[in-house]
Amino acid sequence: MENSRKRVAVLASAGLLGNFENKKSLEEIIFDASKKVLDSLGLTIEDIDSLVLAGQDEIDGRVISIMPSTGPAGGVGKDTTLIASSSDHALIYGYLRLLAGQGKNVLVMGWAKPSESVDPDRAELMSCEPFLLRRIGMNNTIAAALQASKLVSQGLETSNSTGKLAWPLGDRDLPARGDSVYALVLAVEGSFTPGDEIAWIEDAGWTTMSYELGARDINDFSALKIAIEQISNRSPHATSKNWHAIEIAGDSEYVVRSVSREFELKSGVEINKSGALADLPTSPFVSGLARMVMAIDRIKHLPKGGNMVAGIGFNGFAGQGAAVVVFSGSKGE
Amino acid sequence: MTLDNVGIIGFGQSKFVKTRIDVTFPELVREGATMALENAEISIDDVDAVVYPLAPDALIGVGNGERWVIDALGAVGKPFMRVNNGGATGMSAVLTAWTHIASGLFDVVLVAGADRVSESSSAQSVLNKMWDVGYERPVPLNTITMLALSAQRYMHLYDSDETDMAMVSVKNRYHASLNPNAHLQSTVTIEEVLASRTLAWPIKLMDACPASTGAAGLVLVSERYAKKNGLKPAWIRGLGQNSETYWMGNRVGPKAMGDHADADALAVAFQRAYDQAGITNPREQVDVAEIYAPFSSVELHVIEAAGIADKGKSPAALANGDYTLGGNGVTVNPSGGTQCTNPIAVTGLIRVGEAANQVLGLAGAHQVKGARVAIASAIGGDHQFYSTMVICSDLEEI
Repeated sequence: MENSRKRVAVLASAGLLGNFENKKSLEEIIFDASKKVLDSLGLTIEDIDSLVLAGQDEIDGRVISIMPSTGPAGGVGKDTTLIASSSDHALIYGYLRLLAGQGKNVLVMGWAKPSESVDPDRAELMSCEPFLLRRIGMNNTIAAALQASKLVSQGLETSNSTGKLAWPLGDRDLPARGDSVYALVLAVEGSFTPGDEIAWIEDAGWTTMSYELGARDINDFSALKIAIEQISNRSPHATSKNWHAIEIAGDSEYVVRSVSREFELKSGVEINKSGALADLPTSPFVSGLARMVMAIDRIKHLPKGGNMVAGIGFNGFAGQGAAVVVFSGSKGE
Repeated sequence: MTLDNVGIIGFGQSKFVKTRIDVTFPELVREGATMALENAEISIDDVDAVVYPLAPDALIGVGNGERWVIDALGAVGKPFMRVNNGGATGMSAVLTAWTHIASGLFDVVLVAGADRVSESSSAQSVLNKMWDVGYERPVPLNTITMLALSAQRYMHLYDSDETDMAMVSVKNRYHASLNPNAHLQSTVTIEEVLASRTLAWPIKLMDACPASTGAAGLVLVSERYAKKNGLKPAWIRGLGQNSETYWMGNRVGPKAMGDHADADALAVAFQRAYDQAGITNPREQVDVAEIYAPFSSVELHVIEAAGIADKGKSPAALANGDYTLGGNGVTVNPSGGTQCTNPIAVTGLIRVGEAANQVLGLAGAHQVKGARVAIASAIGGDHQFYSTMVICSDLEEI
């Protein structure tokens, strides 16, 4: 479907990530990230029209995550929505809000602070339905291992990573876990001085596949393929073969390595130039948004013109859902 | 802001009850989706994207429960996201669906979900945990005690009493007796309400909503889709949201940011929707209000926040016969409202659906005669998140 709306830009992004933050509460790091991104633009929260937040009740240890987080994010007196399915969905929803004419700008934030959780593994287990997956003890690591083992059975080489946790995954194959919070300010063209933007959003695609692992082929990347197809159908210029760089939050490095095999990509495309999954501690809930922030950051490292970077996130066990946002360095790429 | 026109072409809801042992949670969600699609006379294949409302994960006992129900919703392979704005979730999800369409990327969006509040081992224990662990959780607050404080403040500030609250219950129970989907369908008298068990003074059992189980869904479409297919939707003419402070301590005492007796942040959300819809005098321009009020005391200040009555004046108007089906002025909660049916995740969605049915003349025995303009609202968190909408049968000037 053709979209002739005003273009949406990213004005600033900020991330606070670390292994485990034990001097500040979740609410304090949310406040810090919100202030950091606004300070970088010389703005105050009064300049922001609305907020889109992303938090996960169980990881946050807050029954309704939006309640304690709205104040420190700056949402009191404002239109605030929490997207709970994935932090990268929050970025996409912020984009949709501006396309829909809901204000001139939006503050998007996503976070996870598993260090405050009594038992993050238990919280992960609670995301299993109670009839089958919870009983067999499914979690993200086991699902990622099942996916990786199937990729290996189809010819993908095993990694050299030592310290095997769940075959074939070693400790360097898995994303590092830690506390992180990300904040972005999006704005619609005409509401800021041209040149103040750090990236433009070309398009976004997202979808979710069947829940039960047995009901889908866990290594066919169907959610990612559909998300990319949505973008290609609407914005052919933003298709995967035109991407110069990709930042991808895979469930394991096996997923990252599979992308170049599964998709038609430009020769020499940079994949996860920002760092390996094991080097950037985050949480599965926020890892997609983290990589989108890194994709935006890649824009400024690429030559002017012709620089399109995709941020890719997954949600659910073994890539049940996928989200792709394509950024570019110039309007009308 | 100029709104793109988005309409509602389908609304489905189950008969709400205390428990449903005949279905799993995903099967219940499927009911909501199926009923909405059938009412819209389309199939899931016609749907471009799906928005799913689910409030606290803890109430259904599954984290990120949206991932579990996606097959049942029929949303596999479609753009899909979940909203969680506490009790306002159902309406925030409709607003999110509206945004999908108004963005220009989609023509048909399904919003559907379910809740089984009474099947949580202790809903109020879960809801106590929504407060800060160090300060307000140990008070102990839950949704009943939190709103009992508000009711006490309202009584003090406006010289109101428990009979005023009981009048709201009597009205809503009468309305619900005409609504085949309502959870509580028996009528009550003022004397019965006043004699019912005190939960947290002044809130008594018959002032309180039930913990409901059931499902609901809506189908939203773009104006171009409606025209192309010769449809006559209920049009969303205005919408607004606003957020309040988290802390109860910020709503009482001399340094309060807002008075806990009132719903001033909700009034701001209503004004945002009114500005978009061109409503300058809701008492004259609005026919029906489907407003989120889980307790009788809440309805009084929500009526006032909507501009249907001045602050502190809604009890007198109610005593004068206002707000009741067949009575004077704006009819408030002709479905019986949240006080008679509260499946938290979809309660806000039902407010929108009931409002749409009213302006389309489809509300059956609880239809407000000649209704053209309806308003709807929802409240989430500890009276912290507010959503509002104006819905009209046409696109003419209101």
